[in-house]
Amino acid sequence: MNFEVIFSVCSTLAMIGWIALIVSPKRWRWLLATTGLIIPGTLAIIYAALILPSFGDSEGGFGSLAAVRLLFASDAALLAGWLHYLAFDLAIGTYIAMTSDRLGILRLVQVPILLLTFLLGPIGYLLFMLMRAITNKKTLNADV
Amino acid sequence: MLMFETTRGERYTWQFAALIVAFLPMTVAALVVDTRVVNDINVWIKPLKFEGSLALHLLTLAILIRLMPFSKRNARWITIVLAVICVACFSEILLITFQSMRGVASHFNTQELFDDTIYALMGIGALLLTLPVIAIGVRFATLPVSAELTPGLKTGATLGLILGAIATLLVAGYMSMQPTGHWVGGVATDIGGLPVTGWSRNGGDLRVPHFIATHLMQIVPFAGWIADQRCPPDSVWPRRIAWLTASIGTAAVVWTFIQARAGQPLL
Repeated sequence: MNFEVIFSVCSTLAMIGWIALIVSPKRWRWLLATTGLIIPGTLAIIYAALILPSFGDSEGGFGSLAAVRLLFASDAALLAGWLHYLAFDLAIGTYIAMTSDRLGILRLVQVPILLLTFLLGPIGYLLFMLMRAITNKKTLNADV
Repeated sequence: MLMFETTRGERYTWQFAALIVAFLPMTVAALVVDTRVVNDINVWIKPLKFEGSLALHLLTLAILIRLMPFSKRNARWITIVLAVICVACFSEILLITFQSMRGVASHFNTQELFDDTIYALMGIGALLLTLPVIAIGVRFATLPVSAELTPGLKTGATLGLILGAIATLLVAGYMSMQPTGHWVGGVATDIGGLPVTGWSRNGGDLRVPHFIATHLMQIVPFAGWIADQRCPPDSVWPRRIAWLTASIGTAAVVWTFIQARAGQPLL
């Protein structure tokens, strides 16, 4: 199987999920199920198919940066690592979107948070957590 | 009670202010680690300053808007104006942060087309976050005094927002047209300036009148509010104090502007 093809297909899949999460006019249940369960689940299965057969042969480890670099020296492991990003980022993005809707964070405010989660993962999540910590019920919830 | 409900416009303002404040920790982290400089100071000083001042700008509007009766602050045009200001403020933060990531200046960077375009976009953003404030100031002038909108606050909000926005547009507009940036004479560096602000100590610095002009939006309403707390009801003094503060503030803008143009440092 061509790794480049798997890479393209999975990246496109994740991209579709992100676009749906950010621009869909409403957060339908089926949409959140797609971005939160179906896409990350599919990526997880492909991840398993990549990592399980090759993991035993790898020379690297987790003990040092050099060992991790060695671990990602094989294309199968590198691709699996990339799928790990795609799957987890989108799952976290879905969590952020659902929680934001529940709290009353406006969709326009969610856009930069989700975009940053998509592009710079942890920074987007950090922004979301901090925003949540410094806003209160009055500024979030009370809709008219 | 309906009167204390939060409108959509207010939610925009509070939430975008919070989002900008949430940028502070990562900016500080970058500041500590990054060794690159722009105008001889760390590239992250400027995003840090703008995060502080634009969050303050939004918080000021959020607090003042809340003094309006619910039906007034829930007006559609107020919601739109606040949303525009919020998006403009946040865009400024994104553009400044983006340029700092690249290690280049965000303002007065006209050498390359790309940087010049970003500078131009920031000019539009600055206009959009300042100009609509005048309309909100005028709205305060036409509202009756109430238990929330006390006399000093009403006059302070009116004068502070209108004068602050107009003076900022004039000073910043003039500054943006100077080929030498914010310096007038003196050494074109941001190192060795006054503490915190970084204003030049050996030449004129147009950021001084810009700073005073912009913060009239906080100083004048605050002075009016303090006067309201100290004076008995029906006293004419809160309004007078708001006018006096606005006059002194405007005079300070004019004075420091003339001083900067003459190439003189503030201190």
